[in-house]
Amino acid sequence: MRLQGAFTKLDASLKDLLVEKFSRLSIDIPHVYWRSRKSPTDVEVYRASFLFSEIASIAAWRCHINGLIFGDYFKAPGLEHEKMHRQLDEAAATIAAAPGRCQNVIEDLAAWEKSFLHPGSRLDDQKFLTAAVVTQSLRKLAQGSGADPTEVSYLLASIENLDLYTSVATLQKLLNTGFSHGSPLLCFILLEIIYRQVRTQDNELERRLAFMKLLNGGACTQIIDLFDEISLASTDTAILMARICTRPFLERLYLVMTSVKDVIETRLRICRWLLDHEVTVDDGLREECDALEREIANLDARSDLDSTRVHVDEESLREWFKLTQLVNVTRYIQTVLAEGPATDFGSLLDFYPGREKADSADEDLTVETQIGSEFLLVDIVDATLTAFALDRTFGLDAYLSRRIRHGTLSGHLITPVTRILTRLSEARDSRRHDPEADQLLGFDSLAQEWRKFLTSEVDQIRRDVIQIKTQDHPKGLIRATWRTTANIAHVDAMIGRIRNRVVETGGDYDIFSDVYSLCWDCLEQDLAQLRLYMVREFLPRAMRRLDDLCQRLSPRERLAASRFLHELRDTLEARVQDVCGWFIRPVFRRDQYGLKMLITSMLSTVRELDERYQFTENVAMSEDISLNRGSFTVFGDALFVLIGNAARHGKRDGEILVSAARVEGPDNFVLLKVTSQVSNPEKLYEGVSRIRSALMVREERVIDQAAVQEGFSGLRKLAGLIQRFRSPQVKLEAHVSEKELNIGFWLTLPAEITFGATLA
Amino acid sequence: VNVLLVEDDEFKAADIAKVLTDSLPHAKVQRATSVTSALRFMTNQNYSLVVLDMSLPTFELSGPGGGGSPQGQGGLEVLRLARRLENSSPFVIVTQYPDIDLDGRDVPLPAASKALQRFGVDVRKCILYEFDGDSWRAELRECLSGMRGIRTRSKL
Repeated sequence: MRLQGAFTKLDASLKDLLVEKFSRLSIDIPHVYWRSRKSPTDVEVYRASFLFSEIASIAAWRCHINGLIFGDYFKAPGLEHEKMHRQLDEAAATIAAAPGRCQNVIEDLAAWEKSFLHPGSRLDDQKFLTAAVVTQSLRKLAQGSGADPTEVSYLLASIENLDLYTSVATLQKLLNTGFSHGSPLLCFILLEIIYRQVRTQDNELERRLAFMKLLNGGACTQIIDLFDEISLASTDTAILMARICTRPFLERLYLVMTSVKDVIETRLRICRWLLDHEVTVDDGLREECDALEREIANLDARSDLDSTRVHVDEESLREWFKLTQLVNVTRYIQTVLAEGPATDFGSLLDFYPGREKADSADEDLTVETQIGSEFLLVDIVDATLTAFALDRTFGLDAYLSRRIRHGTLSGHLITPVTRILTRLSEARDSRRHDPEADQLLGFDSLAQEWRKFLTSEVDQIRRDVIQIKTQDHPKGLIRATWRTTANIAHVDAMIGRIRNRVVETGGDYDIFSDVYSLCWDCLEQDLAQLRLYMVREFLPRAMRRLDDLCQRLSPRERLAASRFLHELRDTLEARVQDVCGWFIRPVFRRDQYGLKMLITSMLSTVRELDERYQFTENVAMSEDISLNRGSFTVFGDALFVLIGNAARHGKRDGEILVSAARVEGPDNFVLLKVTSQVSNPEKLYEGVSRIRSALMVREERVIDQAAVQEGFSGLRKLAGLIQRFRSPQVKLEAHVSEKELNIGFWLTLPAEITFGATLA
Repeated sequence: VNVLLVEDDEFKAADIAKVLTDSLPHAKVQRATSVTSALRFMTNQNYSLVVLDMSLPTFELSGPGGGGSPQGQGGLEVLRLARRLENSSPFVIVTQYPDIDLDGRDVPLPAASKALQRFGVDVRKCILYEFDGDSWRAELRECLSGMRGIRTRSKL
């Protein structure tokens, strides 16, 4: 409004000059849109066609294409009487009758498709026209005129982006015809296209069922045979199917897969099959193969450890990213290439606080220039972080709901308490005539009251605290936002990194991994908040309540109950610390990880667990010891146990010394030493006794059960892990120094844990 | 009487099994501990009753590689597939969660059995299991006694 006001006040000659200057605008299609290709694609011509000067012919051309896409919903006056309309309709009918002729039919339309371009112009492809004409062919097929359904399946599988143009109603109609019923393959392809358009759980299930039907009750090993058989007639169809068989998809083929191992091995076979059959080499697939091989190598070791750790389904997020962010990513990459390598952007911090402070009265005059590639990338990050956090199928919220909020949290915290109380009742009942049993009566009823309190607290945490912060959950501790000062620094770093890689690769760089990694960066502080809440708020509250209740007991009753009281305290503390272990960022697919970084972060994680931990830390090792992913995971679990015990049982303000060194020899082993001070000789002997009772077990079964039953002390869990290694070099030793009053654990593990080599 | 108990938590399973064996002393109770094993049992036969948990692992926890993706709504997968497997067993849901997430909406348990009919299966009741409460036991017993074809101890 102010701008308009200012303009009307100008001198008439100045106004005329401005009107003359700005009434005509010459726009060239930016060269960057052609990128490395010599010619534009047909969809680019369609999008840019309104810029051409042949208004009438362009309008007719677009009307014909819109008619193919929208069918009866698009009625341009007189359109159906035009010769070209009939010609396109005949083309669609020909394809419906003989899908194998599709390519020839579309090529015959090339002259018309580029009729308003400069003579001699070429199109890089005709994918858009193909999808538009086949959309019309599908309408005809749905009305009953039919070709061979298998041929139709091959055709549909070979056309890109058909789901963008064909309506669900048409696909559903086609699915319900007798024509499709005889072909499980066609049903599957149609259901896949429907699912791409409407991603409901029902549609996903239908697609999965159709796939299982294709296997006809066969085992997972037959999936590759199926692809091989189909690829003899249509490689495109087999590749599409292989691409659909992502890990989450395979995992839910309940009647085909029998275990996680089945799923991983099948996905590995599929990745290898894709690498053999796809024309362009996909680095992502190679990385996935490596990651799957590493996972198989660690399968035995990992199967019973921390399946509860916070998790977002990376594969599904990647799928979502491809489906929803493709256009934005393309636009971002084109903009980066157009901008070139040298930009001096600075930091988003300079921009965002300023925008929040902007005076709303000046809004129409202070239009900010959010036109650089950085802002396009920020939009992509914003959308991805939202899906990462909130998607109900694969996002963090779904995981929290499924695994942590939904029973598991209360099960993990309350079940062991309930077990102790059951034993307490049994002890009381078994000694009914014993006067000491009467002393337990009072404690039993108080303990039951405490359990009720605990249950209600856990329920409140589940409902309000372990939540993404939204209007519905204002107390949720997970903000999942990049708009904090610390996280904006991560975003700045990512912007620079991605820009360089996009420029270096000429636009071929896949930005997903960086965006995914950033999502976890943005979550780090939230996870720390959750850990702090559990140990600094929930646990003290529960302990205080137990103390308050115990005040009601007589000294004799308190004495009789002391064993159970200690057990309840220790158990709850151990379980809360286990729960904190859930809120640790998972490991990514990388090839190498620094051991020192792992030790430092584990020291900080353990330090957060209890505010009474005032230990000083001393990490003595070189920076260059690196681990592969399998070894990183195993060392991570071991460190959590060893440092956790050192902090818990060692001197509160003592030193924890962690050192690591390569073991000489060809096998690349690492010796890790965690040494902690204890306060006095009594504590030292207590510690020795605890270690002995944890590790001196007669029955193998006890160690096996420890993986799921043992709490934070975790020594048996660790022993179970080590037992799985074949190598005699792998060992855990406890070293006690009476003179220096310290206890040390020496753990030797391989720096590379790979399939079959080091694991039994 | 054949009963399938689908529950991965040992403590809760023992609790439920006790109610089942008390109420149905002659029943044969089979146990599944994952979505996959439940569906495999249900592929082979109809049951007089399926007692189903909602939060289940995909595979057996003891299998190679562990339980796979935990599914808070794994029970829904069982219900969805039951009709497709032409299994007509009646279901009772016993869950520790007061709501069931249906199409992104939290449906409270009292209303859930009706809402779950959309999967084309016979869901008799959805019961809230509580560690320290007995009301779920009474609800389950009442449900068992009210079911046709199942003779509970009180009617024997």
